[in-house]
Amino acid sequence: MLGLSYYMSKMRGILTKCCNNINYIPSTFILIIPARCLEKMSNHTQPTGESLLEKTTGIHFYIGIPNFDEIIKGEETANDEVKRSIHRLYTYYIGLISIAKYFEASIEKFSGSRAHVYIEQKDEETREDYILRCVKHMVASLRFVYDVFNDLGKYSQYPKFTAHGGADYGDYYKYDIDGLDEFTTIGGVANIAAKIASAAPKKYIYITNDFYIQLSSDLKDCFNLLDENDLQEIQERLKGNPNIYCVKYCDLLTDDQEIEQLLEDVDEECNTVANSLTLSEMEVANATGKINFSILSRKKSKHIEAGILYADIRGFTKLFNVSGTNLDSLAIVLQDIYDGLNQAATEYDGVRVQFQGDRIIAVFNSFKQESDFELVRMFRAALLIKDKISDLNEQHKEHLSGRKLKVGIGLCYGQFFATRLGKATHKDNHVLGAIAEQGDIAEDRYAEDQDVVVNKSFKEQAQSLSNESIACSVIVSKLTAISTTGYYRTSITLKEFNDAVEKAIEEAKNSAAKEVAVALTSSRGIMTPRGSERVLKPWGW
Amino acid sequence: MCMLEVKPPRIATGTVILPELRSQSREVRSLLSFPIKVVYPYDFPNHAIRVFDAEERIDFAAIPPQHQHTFGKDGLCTHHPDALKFVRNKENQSILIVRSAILLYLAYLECMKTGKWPAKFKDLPHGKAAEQIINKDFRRG
Repeated sequence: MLGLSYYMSKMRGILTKCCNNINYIPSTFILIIPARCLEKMSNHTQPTGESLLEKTTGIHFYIGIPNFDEIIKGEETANDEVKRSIHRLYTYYIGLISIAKYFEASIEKFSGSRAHVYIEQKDEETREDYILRCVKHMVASLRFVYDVFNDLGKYSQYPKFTAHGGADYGDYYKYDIDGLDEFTTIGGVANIAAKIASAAPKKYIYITNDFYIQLSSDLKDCFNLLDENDLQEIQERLKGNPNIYCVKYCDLLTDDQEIEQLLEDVDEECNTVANSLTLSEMEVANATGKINFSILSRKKSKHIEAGILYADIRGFTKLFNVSGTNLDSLAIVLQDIYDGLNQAATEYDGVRVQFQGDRIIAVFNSFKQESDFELVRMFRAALLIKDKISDLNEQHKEHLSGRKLKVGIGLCYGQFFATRLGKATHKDNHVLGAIAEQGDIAEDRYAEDQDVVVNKSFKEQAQSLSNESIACSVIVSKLTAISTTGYYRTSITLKEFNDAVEKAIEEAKNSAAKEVAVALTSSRGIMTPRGSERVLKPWGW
Repeated sequence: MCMLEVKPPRIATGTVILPELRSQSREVRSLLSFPIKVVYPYDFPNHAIRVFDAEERIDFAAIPPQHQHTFGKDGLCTHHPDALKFVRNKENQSILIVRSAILLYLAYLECMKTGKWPAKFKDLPHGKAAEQIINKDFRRG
């Protein structure tokens, strides 16, 4: 009834103005509100608490380039730089932004080659027109990749992009993360769209049953239900059993003039963009300081040897489906989650790349006067995130309706590229390269609740620093191999880790104490590079 | 031994550690490293450098008065001026002074840990008594 209380407070204000000569303003009064106003009031989305958590319904669509990782790996191997991939990714984003703008879709995030788009129904729009707009947007996006982007003269010598997509329809929540300058949507609809998109073969769009039933009968005829094997595979990933339908993008809206015209315009724009910068004008410098994404662009990217942290909160989205859940309470929990994730990264000098739903990605690289090796700082940040989530479970016991938040963390170490791409209206930070993909896999595939999973090169780097760093030797000692996957896991807590490090330092200090004692007693001479000298001794007048 | 960053015209700051402790782990090194400020006099090397406890880690009030080797605001008392006469190679002078400051810090750490000034650390007594020891040392060669 937030709408009603809002309306009543407004009415009270009006009454105050009207009755400025009367000292008594009634706190209760009878309101006669027309039915259509009541309907509007119930639809009115009012800011909840101090944050903006707005429930809405719509389509979430993911488009991805399944061969992009392969392309970038090839380029990394060939010349250690990924200028071509960054250049192409930028143009690809520009094309997708234009298509989204045309169909009045909103781009939530670009993450590597994946774009996350959501589309809402407009007030004046019929359901049929809305669904058609969504389908046109999806088809135009895939046609853009195959018929426009891959034919751009600038990229004619490069491996072609392939594309696939996935969409779901349902409720979700829009959220402006307070103080962190990021926007995100929360809800199963985005997760499902992402998962079915990644399962779709190239050139195909997968949609859920919830989306399918919204389609007109003409459009329904174009889609086919997945066969049993494919369906079973996806349902395992989704941990549910919705029906999934598929269509090849080129079998949908084949002669649509609106799409044709749009793609011609996008073609022109992308050609201009692609030719506006040559590869020699692009700079990929080695990172020497802490990464500052705000100064990065297509023209200026960074090559880094560092760590990437992926921490994903699990179980939060399900809370929205619990009956009687209070949105205001969840908004408070949500803000605390984002603050906690961000604080843990920044406390150990990490730099947030982006939030993806309820997941954070942060980079930890070496810089002058860092408090510890980047590997150790990142590991501690991961353990701090676990602590913070445990604290939130305690702190928000009531708000969480007896459920518990879970967290899985993936860490990777190696060489990758950092950049920031997009138009002025929509730009996202990116970490690109094979290593970044490994961190994603560590979190998504292997990290269970309270687990920290690391890639092989993280472990190797920790091992190589073991003589130099006690913390690294403790990290190595706590990792156990996940069969023969090349990933390693630990479930150690921050306290256990700190205790183990402290104990090891104490032991090392004892062995160093002997050398200190020898130095203190060497009252006579020492050997210098320029010959032996008698030592000087502290004095005082 | 030094990780000094010299700032013009004549002040260097940094963290120093004894070379024999360099092979220790990063964590132990950071515990035994001493952040100092070194002031080079205008007529350096004719006059010796002066070393300061950059982060005021040594609490001189907490150690016995005879070991409080400090000039207060004027830095640490790292040596008796006569001792410099016996430095064989003038270029070693600064190294020896910085080393003396580190040893003072390590002795302080030991004192804080055990509650006693390390008996084997032979710092000089205050006042003129130091001259006799320096001369005796010199005679011994």
